[in-house]
Amino acid sequence: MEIFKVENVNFTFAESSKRALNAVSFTIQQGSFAVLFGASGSGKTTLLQLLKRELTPNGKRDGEIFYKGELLEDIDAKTLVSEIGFVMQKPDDQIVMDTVWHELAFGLENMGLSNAQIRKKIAEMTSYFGMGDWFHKKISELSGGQKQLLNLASILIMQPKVLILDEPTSQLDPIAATEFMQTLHRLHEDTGVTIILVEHRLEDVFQFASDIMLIENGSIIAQGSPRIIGQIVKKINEHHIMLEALPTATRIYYGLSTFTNESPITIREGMEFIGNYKNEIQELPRNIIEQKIDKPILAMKDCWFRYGRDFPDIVKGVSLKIQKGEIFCILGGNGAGKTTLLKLLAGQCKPYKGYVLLHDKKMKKYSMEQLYKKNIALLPQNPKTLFLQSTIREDYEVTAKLIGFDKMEASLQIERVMKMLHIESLMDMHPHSVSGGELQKIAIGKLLLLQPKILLLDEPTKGIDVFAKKQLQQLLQQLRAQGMTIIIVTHDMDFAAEIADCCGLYFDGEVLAIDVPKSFFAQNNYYTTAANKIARQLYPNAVTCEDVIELCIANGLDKK
Amino acid sequence: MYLKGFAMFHPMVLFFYFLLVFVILLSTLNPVLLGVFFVSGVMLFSLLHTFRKTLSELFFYLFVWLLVTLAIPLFHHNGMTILFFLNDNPMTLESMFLGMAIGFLIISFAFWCKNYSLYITSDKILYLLGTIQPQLAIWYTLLLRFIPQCKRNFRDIQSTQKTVGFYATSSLFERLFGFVKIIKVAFLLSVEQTFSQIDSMKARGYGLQKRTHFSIYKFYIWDCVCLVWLIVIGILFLLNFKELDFYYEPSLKALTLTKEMSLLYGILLSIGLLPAMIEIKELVKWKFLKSKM
Amino acid sequence: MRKDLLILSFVILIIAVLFSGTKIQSVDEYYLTHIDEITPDSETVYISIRSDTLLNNMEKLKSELHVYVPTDGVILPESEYVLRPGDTVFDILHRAVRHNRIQMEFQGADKNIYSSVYIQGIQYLYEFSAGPLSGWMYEVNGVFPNYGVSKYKLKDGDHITFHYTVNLGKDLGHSF
Repeated sequence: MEIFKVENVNFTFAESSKRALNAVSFTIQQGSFAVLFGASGSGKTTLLQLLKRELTPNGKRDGEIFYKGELLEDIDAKTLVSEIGFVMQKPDDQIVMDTVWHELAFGLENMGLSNAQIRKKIAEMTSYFGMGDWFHKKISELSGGQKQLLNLASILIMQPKVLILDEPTSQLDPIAATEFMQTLHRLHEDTGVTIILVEHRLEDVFQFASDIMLIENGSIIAQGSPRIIGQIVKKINEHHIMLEALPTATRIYYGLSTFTNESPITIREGMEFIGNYKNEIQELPRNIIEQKIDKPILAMKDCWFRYGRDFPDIVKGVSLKIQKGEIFCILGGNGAGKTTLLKLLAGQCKPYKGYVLLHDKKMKKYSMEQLYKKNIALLPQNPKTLFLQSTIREDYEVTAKLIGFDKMEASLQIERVMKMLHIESLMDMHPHSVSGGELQKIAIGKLLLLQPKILLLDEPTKGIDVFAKKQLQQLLQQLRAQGMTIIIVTHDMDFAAEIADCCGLYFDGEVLAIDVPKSFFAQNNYYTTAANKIARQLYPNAVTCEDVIELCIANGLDKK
Repeated sequence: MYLKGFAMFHPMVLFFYFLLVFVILLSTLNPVLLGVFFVSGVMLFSLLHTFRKTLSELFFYLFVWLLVTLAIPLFHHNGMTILFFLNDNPMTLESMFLGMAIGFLIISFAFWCKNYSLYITSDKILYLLGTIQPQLAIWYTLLLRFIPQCKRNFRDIQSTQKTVGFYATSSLFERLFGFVKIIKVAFLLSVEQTFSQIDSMKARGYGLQKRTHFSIYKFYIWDCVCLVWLIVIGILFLLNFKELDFYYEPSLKALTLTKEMSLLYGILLSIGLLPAMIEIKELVKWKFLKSKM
Repeated sequence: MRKDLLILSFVILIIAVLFSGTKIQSVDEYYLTHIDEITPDSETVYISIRSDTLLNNMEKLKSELHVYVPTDGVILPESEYVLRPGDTVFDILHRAVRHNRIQMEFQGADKNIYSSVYIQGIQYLYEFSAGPLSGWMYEVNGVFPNYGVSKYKLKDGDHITFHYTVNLGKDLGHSF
């Protein structure tokens, strides 16, 4: 049975003239697991919001949306509220109550259920999700992954027939994200609930999905099952940027030639597929950048740090050397440790033991002005905190004034930055109203105005789509070519593998295993890129998708 | 901490208990009552916190008490026993006693407030508000999340802005101006988040029909017993209010320690000690059980 | 943070005390006032303090203060004092109560919006001790002046009487 049928829907936002959605048509079968992906700003969120009446934004809509055969606007509110559930992107934006148990009860209270009924449902839900341990906790004590799980549970407790999720794992670290997806999958298998999911991270979700849709500029340009979607996209454009969003196994498959069979989608399938290739050549000749000059621009010497006398040590005797002009990535598990490390490097926090050297001078000898004007710049996890004015242009102008540019120089510099980042169209918007990838660009733009020599980035790839990631990569490489030193804290291993000159693993207050990406990832069994996992039997030093493809091509098929 | 010992009682009972304590404490300056509640307040506090913390709090409040004791006679000159004259104003012994009493009042109040906040947690307040009017509970909870979120936003923005050279100007005015601006932006960010929370509430059917109010609190027999006991004490207190009320000037009221009054004071002491006794009972019970296991 | 506030409060207290002057006198010193000898050519005034109204309104008065109400209503019988040049009603009252060791509390002129001294209590009978409309009022030669005790300049032969009222003067035959 068709649970959702969308026919020729156009949508324009109330204050805008451009169509957000253009002639969108698709059907969702009951019990299917549909995944929607596309670049940010392509209309994915808008489309999802149109399916949930309470969240539909103001604007003009043409076309029809049917739910279970009836027009969406004709269905009564109570049914809609309980039958269609919506999980938002940011866990904190969705939680209303103060304690876990009360949050679970919220939806049921709205429906007017009695105390006894609510108790029963909560007991059931808690057992199913294994939430017994943290049932009585306050929301503030939960981790990001737990919060998102709570959101899921508080929607499921209302027994929806359809579950709509808008990038639910984008704010979570990889482990929590994988767990969330597993839970979703288990739910789908156990209850047959229809799932409509928007995701950037397709690696985990492809194996569970039944339908995939690609949306671009407000229209759905490709639809199909996970194993053939790659083909469909390739037919549109051999080198479509969104192909890079597909799981690594699929990318390798399509990167090798225009196969017309079904593609592998999991790591294991990828390994089986690679098994068809020879492995005589294990290393490709490459320009290895010799970095023998040990002239670190930024160094940490035996630093210890904690947030207060009664708090545990976060950084325990870390010594680190970062060379001028290199891109250094700090990887590691979740938690505040990596961000703290970055703050120490940026001078935002001071270690109680040990010191930080900047240009061979102790950091505490620098004044605030010397540190942050034309020296160090830090991009925080929440770039919104960088902006104080009401338009981006104003903010840039204020920053330029702060640096000390006169009017002429200021507008020149702003022009330069705008061109480099392609953000001309965003300049007159309010900083809080731009999307994730755009926000990041304007944030980096602001930092570039400060003409830093060292740029520090805290989780820059959180929640941004593949296209924006690629742009970020190119930008960083461009900046490195100009001589900038870049330090990135991230969990995104694929990104680090592509861009880093040097990687370090942060664990239990220390930075270990500092090495070039190739050796860094190749040495790890579990904490490594998907490409490495797929190819390690044959090509243990292959770290990125491109590496694997190149090596496969170089080796040729094993004619066994 | 939660749901063991005194916290096991129903929120309504807990609320009435603290209401009674605060009313009795703040309505008279009776030295016996002050002593009773000071001792029971500190005792309860010491059961809930580490020994070191209790000591450091006591130490701090000792100075507060001293401050009040010295300050009151500077403003109150009534009293029969004059010690000396300062600027034509008599410094009387009675005023000093009054000062000491008010000092004890203030520090007892402080300790009881701390105890209160440990027992009447936000979810209990939520429950209580909800029984009056479910809407109240929702607004309270949104407020509860709004304030820490605002603080967090403020801290984040401030630390980010520091590294963007925001405070690098030497002009005090500019820095102040910037500070205000950060407050404004932190506030706006939190408001945006609240809108999103309201969306989430609507998405789960808030406002469609009359809400029920879920609670995990059930009325047990000990709740009823306790409530009745509290009401009885409350009435006893009101009836004897005239006797209990105390004055310090022009001369100290004579304390009548008749059998009835002693009994009354004893009963009121038991009220102050009620949570402490329950906590001790729990401690003993588990220690005993542990040794058996 | 709290400790800083506490230290600050102590410092403010000490400063306030020092600022308002540090005239410390023992009890006897204070009561040892110099009373001028009355000679035939000296100018004199008469002062008395009465609390008759309370005798009819004892139920209004706080119970602990009943013992301070004289049964005949006279706290200070009419007494003669030398009038020094520039003396106001307050100066005479202050001298009289010190001479007779009667308790009196007043609020200084600088703390008052009328910028005059305000008499808060005499012999432990304070304003509001017998209800919200009670307090001390004074009349000179039978007339209740409209200004404070430290503003009324006396002339030779004036008769000052302080009365306690329980309803803003109505019981004394005068209302504001």
